[in-house]
Amino acid sequence: MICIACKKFIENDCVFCPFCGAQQHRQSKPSNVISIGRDPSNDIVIQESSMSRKHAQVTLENNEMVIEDLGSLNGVYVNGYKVHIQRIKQTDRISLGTSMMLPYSRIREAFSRKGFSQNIVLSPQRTVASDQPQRVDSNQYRRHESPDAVRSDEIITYAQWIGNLLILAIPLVNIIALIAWASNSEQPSKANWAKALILIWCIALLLVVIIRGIANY
Amino acid sequence: MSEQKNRSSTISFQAWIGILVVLLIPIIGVIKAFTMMNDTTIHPTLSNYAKAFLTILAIGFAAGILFRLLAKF
Repeated sequence: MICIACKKFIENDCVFCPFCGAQQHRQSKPSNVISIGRDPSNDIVIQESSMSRKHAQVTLENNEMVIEDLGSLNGVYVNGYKVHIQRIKQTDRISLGTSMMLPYSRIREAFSRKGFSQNIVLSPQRTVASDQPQRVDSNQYRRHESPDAVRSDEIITYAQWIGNLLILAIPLVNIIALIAWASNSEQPSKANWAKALILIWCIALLLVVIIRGIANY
Repeated sequence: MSEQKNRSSTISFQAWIGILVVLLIPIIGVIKAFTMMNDTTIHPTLSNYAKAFLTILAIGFAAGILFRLLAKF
């Protein structure tokens, strides 16, 4: 680099010029990475048990954002799909952990605090002027869910599946439960699963009846 | 960077039929469930289902062995 005072070539890391002694006022480049997690050192702090200390990071490159899972326990989901590294856009639905929604506007706010306000247009929802990391609780995120936020249908958790499969092991109750789930329009994936299961059970029952009928003759 | 495929967030009826039929097949069903469980590119609901399916299967298997052992004594 060139000294701002004497215009001589100096090493890049110099704080003072070795020739004239002038302090080099280097313009600090804003970091293009924001971190998300439970740890207070993150740019976006989410105090939720399903969040890892260093859960994910978002990198801003050429006005495009890329989210990366930092080896979290419960993963990063974009539009309901578990991803390791993924380019994100405004319409994407980002969820962290088991059910944690992360609105796109929060990421933009975090970047704006890091000096990217000229590049990113803030949403009219809320502007945070503080340099402090944004500390929010899980309920705050849920309150700020956008209309196209991830519906509860999109990810059926492991615990929910365990519960469903255990219910299926109870005679009679399983039939009622299956009919109820099949008619549940709030969770289309689960409804489709229940319908598929009813169909398979009906086919199996029919096969048993036919085989027994043949065996009797 | 892995580009995400543009897929519907709802698992269709046909997809479920296919998955459930495969899971019914002995050995192949377990292998399929393990594959689904570790596959990060599929819908998380499916991977959770595979995990739950294997858990219930393991519990059932363990309970079966336990009952047989108890019946012997």
